[in-house]
Amino acid sequence: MSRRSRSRPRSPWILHFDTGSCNGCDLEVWALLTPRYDVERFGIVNKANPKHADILLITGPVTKKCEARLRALYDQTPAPKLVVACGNCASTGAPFQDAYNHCHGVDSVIPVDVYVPGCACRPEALIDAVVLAIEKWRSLDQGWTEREKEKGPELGHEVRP
Amino acid sequence: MPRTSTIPFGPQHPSFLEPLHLRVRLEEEKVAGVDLSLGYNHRGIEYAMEKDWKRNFFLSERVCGICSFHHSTTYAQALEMVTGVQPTERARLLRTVLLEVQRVTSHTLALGHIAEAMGYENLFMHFFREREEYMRIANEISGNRVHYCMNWLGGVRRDISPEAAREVSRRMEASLPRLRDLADVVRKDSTWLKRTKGVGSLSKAQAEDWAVVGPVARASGISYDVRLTGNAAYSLDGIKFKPIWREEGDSWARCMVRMDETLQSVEVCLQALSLLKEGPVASPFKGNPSGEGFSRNEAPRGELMYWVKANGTAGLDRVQVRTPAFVNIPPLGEMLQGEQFANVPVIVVSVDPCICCTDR
Amino acid sequence: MSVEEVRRELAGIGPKGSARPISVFPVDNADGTLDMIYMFQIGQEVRLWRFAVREDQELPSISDLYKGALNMEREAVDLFGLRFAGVQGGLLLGPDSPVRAPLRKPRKKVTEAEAKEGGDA
Repeated sequence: MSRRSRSRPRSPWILHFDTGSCNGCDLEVWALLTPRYDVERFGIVNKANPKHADILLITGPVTKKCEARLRALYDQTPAPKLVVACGNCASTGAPFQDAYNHCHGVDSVIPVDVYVPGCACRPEALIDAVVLAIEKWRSLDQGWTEREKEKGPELGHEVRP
Repeated sequence: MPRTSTIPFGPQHPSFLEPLHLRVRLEEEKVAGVDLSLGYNHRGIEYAMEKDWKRNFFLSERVCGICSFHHSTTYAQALEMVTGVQPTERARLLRTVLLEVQRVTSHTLALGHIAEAMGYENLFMHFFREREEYMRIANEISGNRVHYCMNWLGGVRRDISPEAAREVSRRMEASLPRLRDLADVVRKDSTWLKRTKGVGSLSKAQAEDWAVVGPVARASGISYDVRLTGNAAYSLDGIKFKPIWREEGDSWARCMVRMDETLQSVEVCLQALSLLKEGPVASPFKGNPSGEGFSRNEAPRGELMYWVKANGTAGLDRVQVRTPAFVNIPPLGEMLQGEQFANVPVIVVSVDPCICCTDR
Repeated sequence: MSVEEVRRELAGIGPKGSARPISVFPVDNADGTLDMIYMFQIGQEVRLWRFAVREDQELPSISDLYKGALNMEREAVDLFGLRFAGVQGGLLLGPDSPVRAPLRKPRKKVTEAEAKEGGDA
């Protein structure tokens, strides 16, 4: 692996965008940055600039007004990037299934890599999701070691040669 | 000739947690005007609530994750007005405990958010560390950190054992000295005072014109608090309580009102836990409600009102939710007038905007 | 009862701070009329004014008396399709929103006997 692709998973920067959620999951995302759960020990920093972001943490069933903004943010984020849909709203829009003004989940607007269940998703589940996203990222890069090739199918993603 | 520019504070912004669009018109560095654009968080909850009155106890919580228990309590109280069911004494006290725990988490969040908006990250971390303790207390009582799912028509769904009540009281008492330290910072710290004193003023006349509620109104000299009135008043349970209010009307007054209310909420929780007596946690009710009723409650941001029209079937005819942020956000145009541009995030966050409540 | 009478009663109450609008909202009766409810806090009590309006009626606004009522009327315009003098919608629903007046109910079906008996529905 090149030095750049070795270092990228070690310090992914996140961008958090709320597309219409009730703020429960947003506060759990913010709780990640605070002393109890502290994801800064993984090198994760909350940078609100899409050009600096590696992982997009999206909450909320995408409301109709936010749809264009979400797509613009996704397009502005440079590849490679990962999208984590936090909470039941972002995964399927489930709590608001009878409401009329949303798109039923983030994956109807942009491709999603990791879904986090829960209403509101707990911070431990969010840390698990970010770690899973980083593992998925490692697998996307060229030059796997033998051990990584072996562990890949266990984690549930395909190993690309 | 002053140079003018327009700066968009888009739905995605480092200072704001929620999607809100502000278009700020500047003359040099001072704000000349603000256009507010809402609707980014509108899901259509009043429409979804007409489907099933039982599901609404949980759906009303999802209107807002910060004041979720206040929403479901107000909804339950509105249905109790419709049906005439009285909640039991133990249910009222348990509701009070959880309402005040949620108020503490909301106010520490608001104050931490203000600290973060002014760049005081260390204080932001301190407020969130205290908040974590109360999230765990809520988890201990209800099983959930954010949406407690505890309300039902006539009472609450789960009880609390005496050991759990003692443990919760002990942890709250242990957190009081740390909260008092933070109150000293808000009252006296020179950075905090420089960034919030005299910034974002709302006079009493303006506050009455815009019909603001909650800490924003109480910081501008209007001493009204819903917890004093109605059939959910705290005095009916034997809890001593007085509203906290100030006259300055600036961001510092709003922060001080919230900080003092946080300390007061912990005291009210301890009083309520000490008044708990054995008894049922819910009054029985069968069938479907029919009729109209409304209820008001003091959410962390102000007065929350639910008006419900039920028709005897599994659904409802109309639910009207009047959230406090709905009336607190429009005065931002007047508060931001003439202020320095760098103060805009602090002023907007000092009003404690909850766009999910505003848009529903 | 009408909006003008509500305005007259509010003006007669006293200085500005003695009445505070809590909410101004419509309720659909599913027969072509809507009930407008004006909920105010006067002193320490809550007072409700309630009267019927037609769906095509243009109502006077109270936002000159209470600025805080402007957004409540804008919400009624968006969600119910009502009209208020000098008040534009667009608070919650965008201009290209696929839904219009989503909280209006479909009309109750009137049986033939009722139609022969009553006036217009």
